[in-house]
Amino acid sequence: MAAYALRRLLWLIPALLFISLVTFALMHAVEGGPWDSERRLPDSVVENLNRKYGLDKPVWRQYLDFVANALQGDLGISYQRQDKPVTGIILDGFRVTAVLGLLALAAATAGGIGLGVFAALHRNRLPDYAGVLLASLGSAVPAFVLGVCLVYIFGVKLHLLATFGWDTSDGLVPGWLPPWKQLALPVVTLAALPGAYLARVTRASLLEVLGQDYIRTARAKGLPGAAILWRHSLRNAAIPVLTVVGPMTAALVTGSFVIEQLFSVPGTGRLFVQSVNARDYGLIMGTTLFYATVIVIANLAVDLAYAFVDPRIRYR
Amino acid sequence: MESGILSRPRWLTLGVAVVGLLLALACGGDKESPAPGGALAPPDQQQLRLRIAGEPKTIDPHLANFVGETSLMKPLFAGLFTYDADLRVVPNLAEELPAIDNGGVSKDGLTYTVKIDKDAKWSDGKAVTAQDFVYSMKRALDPKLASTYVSFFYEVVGAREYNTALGTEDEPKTPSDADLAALRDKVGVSAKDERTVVYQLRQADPSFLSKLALWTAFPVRQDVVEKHGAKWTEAGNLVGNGPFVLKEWTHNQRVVMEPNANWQGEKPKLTRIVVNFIADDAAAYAAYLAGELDAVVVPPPVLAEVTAPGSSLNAQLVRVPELVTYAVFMNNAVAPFDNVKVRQAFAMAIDRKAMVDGLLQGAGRPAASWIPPGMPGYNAALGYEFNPTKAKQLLAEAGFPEGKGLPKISFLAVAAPPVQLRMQFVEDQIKRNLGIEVTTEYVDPPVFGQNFTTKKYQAAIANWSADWAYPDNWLPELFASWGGNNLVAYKSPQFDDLMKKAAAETDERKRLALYDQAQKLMLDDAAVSPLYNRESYLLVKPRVRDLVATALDGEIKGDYSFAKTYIAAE
Repeated sequence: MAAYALRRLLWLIPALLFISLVTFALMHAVEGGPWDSERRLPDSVVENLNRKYGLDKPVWRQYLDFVANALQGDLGISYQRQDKPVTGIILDGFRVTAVLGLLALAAATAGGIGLGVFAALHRNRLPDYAGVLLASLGSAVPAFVLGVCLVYIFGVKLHLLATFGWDTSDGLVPGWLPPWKQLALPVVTLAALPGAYLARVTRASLLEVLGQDYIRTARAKGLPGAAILWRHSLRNAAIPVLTVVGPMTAALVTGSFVIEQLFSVPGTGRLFVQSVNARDYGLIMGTTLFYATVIVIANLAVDLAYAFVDPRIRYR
Repeated sequence: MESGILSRPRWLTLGVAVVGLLLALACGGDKESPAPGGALAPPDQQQLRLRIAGEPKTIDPHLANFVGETSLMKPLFAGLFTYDADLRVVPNLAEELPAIDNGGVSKDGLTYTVKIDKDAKWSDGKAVTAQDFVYSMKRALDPKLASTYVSFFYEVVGAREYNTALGTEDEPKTPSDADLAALRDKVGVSAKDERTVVYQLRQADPSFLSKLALWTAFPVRQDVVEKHGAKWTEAGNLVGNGPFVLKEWTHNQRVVMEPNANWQGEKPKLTRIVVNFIADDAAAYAAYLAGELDAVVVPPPVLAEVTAPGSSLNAQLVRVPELVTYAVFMNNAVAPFDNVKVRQAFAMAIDRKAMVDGLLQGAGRPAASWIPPGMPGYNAALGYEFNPTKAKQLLAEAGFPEGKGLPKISFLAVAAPPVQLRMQFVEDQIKRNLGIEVTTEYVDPPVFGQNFTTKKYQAAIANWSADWAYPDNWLPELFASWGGNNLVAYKSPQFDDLMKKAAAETDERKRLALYDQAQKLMLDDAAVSPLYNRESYLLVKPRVRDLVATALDGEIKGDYSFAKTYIAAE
C-alpha cells in the first residue's frame, strides 16, 4: 500500500512537467499579453516592462528558466500584485480556501448523508419526499442565486450576518477562522450543492443496499435495527458516496469563483480566472500546477480510502 | 460540479441580472433622514467605510497605472500641486502656483521653479525636501523600474533619453550602469536649495503643472524605498506625506488609513478610513444597504429603481460626471471606413439620447462632440447629431445605397456584460437606421487591447478618459499622425499643423481656439463617433459630509476630498 501510494506520488512529477509545458505553450500562444489594454503604451515602456520581467527572452528560454526556478520552489512573481511571489499568493489564499472548503465539506457531508439516510429509511413516505425535494432544490439553485437570497434575508433585512468579508485577525480562531457572522453565509452557500448531491447519492446507494439479500438475512437473524444500519448497510453504501466525496473535496478546497466573488473571500478560487484575464503569466502557471497537485492528491486519498471501507480492494 | 472554468463568466452574466432583480426588491425600508445641521459626531464615530473592487496592483505612486489604484495614493501622498473641485490646479505642497508674473516660470516657459511649503513633513516627522522631488522624478523615469505611466514627462529635459535607454523590442539597447547613471544625471530636475525644486523643459508645455499634480509626480522617500525594496508600501514600512497614513493593509481584504499627525495642512476630521476590497458590484450595493459601507457606486441593474422619484434612496444620491467619452472608433484606414461619407453616415445613425435614457438609465450625457464637458475645450456645438435621413443619404452618396455593396463589417468589443449591452444597442441602431447588418466579435480584454492598439480592427467601441483636464490630452495623442494612441488611423496634415501651432502658442485663449478648430476638423471628418460622456451615481449615507466627488476621481469617488470629509452627529 505504501509502495503504491509512493508510486502514484512519483507519477506526479512527469504529470506536472507535462502540464506545465502545455500551459506555458498555450498561455504564450493565446492573443494578448500582460501589458495590452485599451490604451497603447509607448514601445519603450513595453520594452522596459518586458526586460524587467524577462519577457524579452525567447519563449523556450523563459520556460527553461521557469522550470529551473520552480524546482527550487520559486514559481515566479505576479505582475498584477506588485511583484509578490506567486507561491506566497497561492499559499495565503489556500489557507482561506481550504478552511472554507473543509467547513463546507463537513457541513455538506453531515447534512447530505444525514438527509440521505433519513430519506432512505422513510422511503416513499412524507419525510422521503420532503428530503428529495430539498435535495433537488439544492442541486437546481445556482450558488449565486442562493447566496444573494441569503445575503438579502440575513444581511440586508435582518442585519444578523455580514454581507461580505473574511477577517481572521479578530475571529473565532484568530488567523484561521473569521467571526461566525462572516463565516455562516459562504459556508452554507458553498455546502448547498455538494450537500444536496450527497443526499441523493446516499439515499440511492442505501436503498440499494437495504434491498440486498444479506440485509434480509440479518433481519431474519433478529439483529437489532441499529446494528443492521451501522454495520451492514451504511458501510456498504459508503463506496459510491466516497467516489463522490473525493473529487468534491478537491473542488471545494481549490475554491469557488462564485462564492469568493460574492462574499469577498480572499481565497484561491478567483486567482485562476483573474490571472488568465490579466495574462499574469506567473500566476497562471502557479495556480494551474497547484490545482493539478491538489487534484492528484485528492484522488489518491480517495483510492486509499476505498481500501479501508472495502477489504476486498487491495493495492499493490 | 461546475461546468468548466471557461464557462464561469457566462454564469456570472446571468448572476448579475439575477442579483440586480433581487436587490431591486431590497430598495425599500432604508429610511435614514439627514441629520439637521452639520455638527461633528464624536471622534470614535469619524469612520468612513468605502470599497474598491479588488486588491490594488500597487500603491507605489510611480508604478501606478491608470486611475485604478490611485484612490489609495491620494490620501497617503501629496504632490506639489493638486486639483480643486472645479479641476483647477492649485498648490498642495508648493507655496504658490508658479507663473511668469511671480517668476515661477521663465519667460520662454521652459524653466519651472517651485518653492516647497516650509512646514511640509513626512509622516515620520522628517522635512520634505527638494531633493525628495528630484529623486522621485528620476526614479519614476528609471527604465528598470518600468513605470507604465510616465511618458507624459518626456517634455522634461533628458527624461525621454533616460526612460527609453533600453530601446524598443525591435531595437533593444544594452547600456551599461555607468551609461544609465549618466543619462539619469542629465534629467532636467534639480534642487536649487533645500526647499526649491527646478524643472527644465525641452519645450513649453501648457499642462506641465497639471501633470505635476498627478500621482506619478508624488514624492517617495529614497531611504525608505531602498531599505524595504518592493515591500516599502506595506503597512509599517510606508512613509508618506499625505493627510493620512497607512495603518493596515490586509491583502485581498482591506486597507485602513488614519490621520497623519505630521500633516501640515488642515487636520483631517476622520479618524479612520477603511477601504474594503469587494469584487462584486451587487455585493457592494448589498453591503451599503446593510449599513456596512458609507458610500457605493450604484450598479447599473438597479439604477432605475434607485433613481425613481419615489425611492427612499433618492436623498442619498450624488451624480458624478466623469471626463470620459465613450465612442465608436472606426478604423479610418480600413474599408469601408476609409470613406469619410461612410464614417459620417455611421456617426449620424446612432440615437445617443435613446442610448443614454434607455440603456444607461440616464447615467451619462449624450455627446456628439469629443472633449467632454467640465474641461477646457468642450464645445457642444461640434459633431454630428442623430439624423437617420441624412445618414442614409450619405451612405448612398458614398456608393452604398441602403448598404448595398458594403464589405462585411465586424465590430471588436470586450466580452463583458455592460459592453455587450451597449454593443447590441449600436448594432440595432445601425440596422434600423442604415439597414446594415454588422456583427461583433467579443474577446477578453488583453485580446481586445492587442488588436485595438495595433489597429487590427474595423470598428470598435471603447472610451478615452482624461489623464488631466486639458485638450492636449484629448487631441494630439489620439488624432495627430504621430499620436501614440491614434488608433483610428486618422490622417490630416491640416490637423497636424493645428496641433503644432497649438503646442507653440503661449497665449491661452489663442491656444484653445486652435484646439477648437482642430476638434471641429476631426469631428467633421468623423474620425471618431462619440456616443456619450460617462457619469456614475454614487450613494452616500446622510451622515457623511463634504465627500466631494470630481470628474478626475479614481475608483473611489471623492478621493481628493478625504481630508475635509467628516461624519455629522445624529
